[in-house]
Amino acid sequence: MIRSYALQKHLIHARQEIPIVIIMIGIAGASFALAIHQIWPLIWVAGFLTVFAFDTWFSHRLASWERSRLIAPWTSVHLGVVSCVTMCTFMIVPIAMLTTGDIALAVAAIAMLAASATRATNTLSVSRIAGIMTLTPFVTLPIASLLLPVASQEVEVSFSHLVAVLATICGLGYIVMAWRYRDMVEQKLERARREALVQGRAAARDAMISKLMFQHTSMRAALFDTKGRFLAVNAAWLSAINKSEQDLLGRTMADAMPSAKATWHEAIEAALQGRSTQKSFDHRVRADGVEVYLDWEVHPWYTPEGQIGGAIGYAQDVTEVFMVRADEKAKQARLTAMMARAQEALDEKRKLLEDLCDAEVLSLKSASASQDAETLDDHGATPAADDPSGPSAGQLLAGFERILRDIDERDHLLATAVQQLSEARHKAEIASQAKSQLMANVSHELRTPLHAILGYTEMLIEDAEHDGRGEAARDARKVQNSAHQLLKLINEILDLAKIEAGKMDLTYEQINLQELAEDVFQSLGPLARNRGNQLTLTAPEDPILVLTDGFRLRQCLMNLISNAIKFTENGDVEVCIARKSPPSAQPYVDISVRDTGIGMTTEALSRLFQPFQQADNSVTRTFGGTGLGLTLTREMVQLLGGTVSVESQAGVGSTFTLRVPARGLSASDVVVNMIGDETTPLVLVIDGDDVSGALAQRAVQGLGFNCALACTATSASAYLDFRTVDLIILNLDIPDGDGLTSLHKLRERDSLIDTPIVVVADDDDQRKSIAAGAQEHLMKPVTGAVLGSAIARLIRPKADHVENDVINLPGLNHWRGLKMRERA
Amino acid sequence: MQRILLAEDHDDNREMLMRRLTRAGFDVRGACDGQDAVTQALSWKPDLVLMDVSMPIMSGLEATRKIRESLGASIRVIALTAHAMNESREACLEAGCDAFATKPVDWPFLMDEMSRQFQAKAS
Repeated sequence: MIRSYALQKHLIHARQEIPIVIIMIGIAGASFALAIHQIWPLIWVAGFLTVFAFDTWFSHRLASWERSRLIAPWTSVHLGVVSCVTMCTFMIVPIAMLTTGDIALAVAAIAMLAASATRATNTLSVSRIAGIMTLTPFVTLPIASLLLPVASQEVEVSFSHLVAVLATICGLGYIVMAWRYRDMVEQKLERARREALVQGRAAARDAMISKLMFQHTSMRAALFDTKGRFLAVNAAWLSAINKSEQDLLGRTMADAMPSAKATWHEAIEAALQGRSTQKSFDHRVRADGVEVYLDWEVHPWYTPEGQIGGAIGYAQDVTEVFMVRADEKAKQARLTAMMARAQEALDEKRKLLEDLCDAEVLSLKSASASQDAETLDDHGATPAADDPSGPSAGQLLAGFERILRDIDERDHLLATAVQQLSEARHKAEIASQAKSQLMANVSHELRTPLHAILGYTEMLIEDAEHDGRGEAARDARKVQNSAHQLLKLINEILDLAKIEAGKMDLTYEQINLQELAEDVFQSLGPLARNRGNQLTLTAPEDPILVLTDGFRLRQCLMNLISNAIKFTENGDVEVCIARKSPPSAQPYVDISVRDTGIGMTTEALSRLFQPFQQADNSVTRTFGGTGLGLTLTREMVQLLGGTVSVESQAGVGSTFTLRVPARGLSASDVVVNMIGDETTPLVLVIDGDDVSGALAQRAVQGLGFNCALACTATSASAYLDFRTVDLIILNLDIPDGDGLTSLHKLRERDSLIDTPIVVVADDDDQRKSIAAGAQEHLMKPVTGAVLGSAIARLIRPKADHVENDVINLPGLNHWRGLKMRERA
Repeated sequence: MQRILLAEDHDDNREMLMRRLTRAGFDVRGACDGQDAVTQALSWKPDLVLMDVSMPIMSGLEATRKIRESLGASIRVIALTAHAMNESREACLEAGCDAFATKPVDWPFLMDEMSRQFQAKAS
C-alpha cells in the first residue's frame, strides 16, 4: 500500500507520542484542575483524548484511501486540525501559570511550550498546512491569556510546586522522546520511500511490458470493460478495421464497429458472464467486399480481487492458411479421383484378363475336354457344360485367384530350389577342397615311390654304362622313360588340381621369347629328328621380351610343340613369334605352332580342349599321351592372361596359336642384360637418357654384375613388382614425373628396404637426395669410374646377405636372387 | 670331403640317395626320423642336411628348426619333399631351410643346389 509521506510520518509520530502525550496531558489537566479547584481542565483533557483517538482512527482511514491521490489535501487538513488541537491542549499549563502567577508553574509552562514547538516543527516538516496550523496556538495564546478572565486564587505552594515539577518532567520527557525518535522516523520513512519507489518501478515496468506485448503482437487484441466498452485496443486491431483509438475507446463494439458480426457481441456478453468463446476459420466479408477467414476468441478477464473486470478478445487473419489448406484438399480430392479412375481402369483390365483366361480355358476345354476338366475344376473356372452363358464373373475371379495362388506356390518352390542350390554349392565347395587335398596327398604318395624308381634306374643306367652292358642300359632307360611319363602325368594332374583350387602361383619375370622357343627346340630336337620333322623358328631380329611366368609358358609351348611333332611325320613344325600392336587394344604376342601333320576334323576340334580327350580315341593307341596336355595349356595360358586357339584341316595340318599379353614391358622399357648367372648381383638402372643409361650399364657390367635398364620410373616400378634387385641407380631427370618423388616411392617398397640407391642428379643438393632415401648422390657429369666405385662400395655380395640375414633373423632365409622353382 | 646328413624315413629312398651321394664323393650318413636327424646333426656337425619333410616322430620342419636353434647358420639345410604344392615350399623356407627340392629328385638340379650351398657356406 502506498501512503503519502506526510500521513506516514504523522502516523509514526503519533504512535511514538501516544503514551507520553496521554500521560502528560492527563497529569497537566488533573493538576491544573486541583490547583484551581475547577472541573473544566478535566473536560479539556477528555476532549483532547477524544480528538487524539479520532486522529488515530482517521489517519488510518486516510492511509487506506491513500491510493486515490485526490484525498492528499484532506490529509493535510486533518493533520493541521489534529496538530492544532494537540497544541491547544499543551497550552493548559501556560494558561495555568498565567492564571495562578506561580513561578514553579511558569517553569513547567516553558517546558510545555518547548514540547509544543517540537511538535510544531515535526509537523511542519511533514506538511506546510499542518505546520502553520500547529503554530496557530502560539499566536492565539497571548490573545487567549488576555481574554481569559481568571481570578487569582491562593493555592497550596507545595502542591502547585509538585504539579509544576511533574509538568516540567513531562514536557522535557516529550522533547527528549521526540528528538530521539526523529532520526528513526526519518530512516523508516526513507526505507519506505525507497521500497515504494522500487515497487512503483516494477509495477511501471510490468505495465510497460504488458502494454508492449499487447500493442506489438501481430494478433488483434482488445480489452473491454464490464459494460462491453473498449478499454484498450492494439495497433493490429486498429489497422485491421482502419480506425483510430479515439474512435473506439469508451464505446461498445456494436456502437464503434457496426459491421462486426453478431457472434462477436454474443461472445463479449458471454465473456462478461464468465464464458469463453472460440472460432476457427470464421468466414467474414470485409467492408470492401474481400472475403477473409478469422480465428478469434473472447475470454473474461479478472481483477486482482477475483471479479470479472471485463472481456478480452483476440483475432487473427488466417485467410492464407485457409487457402493453402483448401488447395491441399482440392489436390487430395483430385488424387483420390485419379486413383479411383486408375482403379477402374485396372479393374477393367483385370476383367479383360479374366475374360481372356476364360476364353483360354474354354479353348483348352474344347481341345481336350476330358483331360483338362480336372485342372480347370481346380481353378474353379470351368463353366458348367449346360450353361450357355459361360462362366459367371465370380467363377472367373475365383479361377484367376487360383492361378495367382499357383504362381505364388511356384515362387515358393523356386525360392526353395535356390536355397537348395546354394546349399549344394557350399557342399560342392567343401568337396572341391577335399578333392584338392586328396590330389595333393595322392600326388605325394605317387611321387615317393617314383623317387626310388627313378633314382635306382638312374643308378642302374650309370652302372650298366660303366660296365659296358648296353642292353641293360637300354632296358633301364625304358624304365626311366616310363617313370618320367608317369611323373609327367602326375604333375599335369596336380597342376590341373592346383588351377582348379586357385592355388597355381605364378612367378612373373622378363622372358625372352626367342630364347624360350630355342630352349624348347633344344629339348625336343631329338624327338623331332626321330620323327623326321624339320623344326623352324620364325621370329623378329630384336628380342621380344614379355613379363610372364617363363616356367609355365615353357610348359605350354612344350606341350604344343611336342604335340605337333607327335602328330607329324616327316614334315615341318614351324614356330612363329610375332608382336602385334592393335591400335584399340593392349599389345600382345602371338606364338603359333604350325605343323603339316594329320590335322583334325571339325568334330574332333570341338572336343579338343576337354580333359582326357584326344581328337580321336584311336590316337591314344597310336600316339600315346594322356590328353591332359592341351587342357592344362589352355588353363595355364588363361591364367597368364592369354588365349590359345587352333585351326586345323584333316590331312593338311594344324596351327595352334598362343596369344600372350605383352604386359607393360616392351624391349624399349626395361632391358635386362644377364652377363652372370642368377646368383650374380642385379643392378637396376633407371635412366631416361640413352647416353647416360648406356654409360651406367657399362659401368655395372664392367664390375661383372647383371644390369636391368629402365627408361621410365613406371616401367622400373612394374619391373620391381616381380624382381628384387641388389642396387638401384636412379637418374633424377626421368621423363615421367619427378625424380625425388620416384625416389620416395622406391624407398617405400618393402622389398627395397635395404637396397642401396645411387642418385645421379644435375645439382649438388646431396641433402635432399639423402633425406629422400638415397645412399649416394652423384652430380653430373658422372664418369664410369665414379659410378663404378660407388656401385662397388655400396653393393653387398649375395653371400654376405645370407650370413647377415641368418644371424639377424634366425630360422629365416632370405637369400635374395635365389629363384627356386619346383622342378619335377 | 663334404659331410652330408640324409634324413629320410623311406628306407629304399634313403639307401638309394646315400649310395648315389657316396658315389658322387660325399661323406654321407643317414637318419631315419626327425629326432635322429637332430641328434646326429648336433653330434656329427655335417656341412649339409638333406631333410625329408614328412617323417615320423619329428617332422623335417621341426627338426630343421631345432638344428637352426643350436647350430645357427653354420649348417645348410635342403628340404626334400614329395609335396609339390607351393605352400609347402613356403613352409620349408619359413622353417629355416636354405633350399627346397621336390621328389623325385632331379639329380643335376640337386647337385647344382648342393654346390651352391657349399659355396655359400664357404663364403
